[in-house]
Amino acid sequence: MNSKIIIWAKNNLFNTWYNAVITLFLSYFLTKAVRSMVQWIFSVSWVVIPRNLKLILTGAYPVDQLWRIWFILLVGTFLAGISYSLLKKGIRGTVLVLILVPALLASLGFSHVSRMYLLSLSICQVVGYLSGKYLFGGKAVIIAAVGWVIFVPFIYVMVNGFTGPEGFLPLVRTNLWGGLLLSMIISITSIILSFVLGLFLALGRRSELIVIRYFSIGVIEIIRGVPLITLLFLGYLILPLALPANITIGVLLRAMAGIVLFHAAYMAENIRGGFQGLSKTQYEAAYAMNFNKFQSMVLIILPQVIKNIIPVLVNSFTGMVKDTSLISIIGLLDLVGISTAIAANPEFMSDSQQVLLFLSLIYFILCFSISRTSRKIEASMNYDK
Amino acid sequence: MKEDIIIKSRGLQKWYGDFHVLKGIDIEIKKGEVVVILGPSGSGKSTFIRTLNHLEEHQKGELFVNNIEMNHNIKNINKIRSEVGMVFQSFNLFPHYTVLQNIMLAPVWVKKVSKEAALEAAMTLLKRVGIEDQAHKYPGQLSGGQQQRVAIARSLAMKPEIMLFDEPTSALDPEMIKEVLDVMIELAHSNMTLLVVTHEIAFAKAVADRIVFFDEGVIIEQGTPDQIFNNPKEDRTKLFLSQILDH
Repeated sequence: MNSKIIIWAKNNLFNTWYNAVITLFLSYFLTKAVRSMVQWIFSVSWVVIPRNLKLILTGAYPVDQLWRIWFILLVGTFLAGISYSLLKKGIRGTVLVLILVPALLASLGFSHVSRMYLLSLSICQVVGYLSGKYLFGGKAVIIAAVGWVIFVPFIYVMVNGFTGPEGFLPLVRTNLWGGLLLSMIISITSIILSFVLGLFLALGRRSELIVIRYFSIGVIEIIRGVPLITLLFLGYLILPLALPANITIGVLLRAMAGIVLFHAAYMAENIRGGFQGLSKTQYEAAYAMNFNKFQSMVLIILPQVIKNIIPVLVNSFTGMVKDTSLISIIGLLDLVGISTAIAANPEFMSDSQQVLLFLSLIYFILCFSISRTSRKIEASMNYDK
Repeated sequence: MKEDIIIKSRGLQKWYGDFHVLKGIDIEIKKGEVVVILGPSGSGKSTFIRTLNHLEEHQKGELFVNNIEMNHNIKNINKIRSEVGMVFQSFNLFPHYTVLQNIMLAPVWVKKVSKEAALEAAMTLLKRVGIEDQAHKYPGQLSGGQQQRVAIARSLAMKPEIMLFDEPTSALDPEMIKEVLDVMIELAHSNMTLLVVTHEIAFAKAVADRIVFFDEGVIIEQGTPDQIFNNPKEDRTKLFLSQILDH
């Protein structure tokens, strides 16, 4: 084993004198960089993270209403558990990690209530998995699909509340939403809505009706020609001017409209690429069998188009998650916005680097899990093996 | 129009841009007839059978399929398509559905047959084409010959009056051609109307009631296999036959 590494290093890193020099040179700097990084990590105080964890995760969301966020997570992990039971094998490792992470987090120094919730997240996944496998049987697919579809509006209802200032689910105004919660809500909304809108724009661009076609082309090209930040400012500053005085739209909604429109235009082009990549013979087979246009599209064409563009879609999705950080510019307190706010607190003024690093870690975990999940989905959709 | 004539085409013409691909096709095909269409590539034979289910649109002339006129009326097109099955050169199975789903999809969604009935019919058809053991595989996991047999079963599931075959064996490895032809021969003996564009002379000789020879967008000559293969009248037919027979 040890000699194998030596032989490999000899062949690849020290095979010529100049490679040897480069290797030594680079390893010197790498070691130095890593060493000083590690030194820094252990020398600074990280107390800023636990002290502000609630802010980073949920912003100014009322503490006595936090159970609603936990409840969303519990329902989500239960649905995830059902979904695991449907996926093909080869994901046991991932599932195990997903189940163990909350349990491990629970062993850290959180409050008793948080620990209880975290443990419940693990339990919910296991219960979901078991009930998907042994209780629901053939209906698990339908339960999971319907569950996920209802889940998104459910998030809104739970976070926003509907019973007015008092009652079971009191209204929590959007200016109190913040941190990871806000970033996630915007990400999920923009991923779903921009995909749907992009799909319609892509279909519109292929339409035989000239008005629809040129309208779609116009929308796509105009939006693609404008930077996202400009669209956000347009929504923030110009949109209120264009609306009648008695109609006001919240900042969050205006920001989301900008993000969704922007990504829909790119999504439309991705989907169009998928349509072009699909052989014309699939349409012919569908028409020859007397499927109407709608059936051909939904049953035969779209599933193949979407499968083919999963890598591109996922690329866009991770881009969207990161792009949500731009909304901090118009004053919304998402992950980036809240960390700026924390750094502005005199008590933590010198700790902004730690917050930034922690933030990067959160974004990395989010985007990395999206791309990992998509690989699994892609593999499970491979029909040739 | 006589009762037993199922396809009637008069003066059928079509252009691809400037290219005049069909220059007036007149033909009548009887119910239950097995017609093999021969001709060099680019002669319009595939285009002709594709006009019969409106995958291609003719621009001049008249076309009646099962006494329904082929025109722009979407109702007529749908009625005709429900009577006409088609098998393609490259199979064109739906890769994201299993064999069974490929066969059940149209009966369930287009004809609104119940899932149970469609499943039963699909299994019967798979037995008929000899691949019931592959029912739960995806097309990509099957050989070309097996895929083409699934494609035939898929068309038959719609219970068509007429089956069109557009070079069904051209994309197959030689050792797989026979298994597909055997299914087609069985079909030919089952009293279904078949129009087959193919270069398989042995098949034509064995089952065709009539051979139609196409060249440059017109029908040059037609007759029984005996007349066409042993006693062709036109020089172009003789030339074509000599080219495909002596190699």
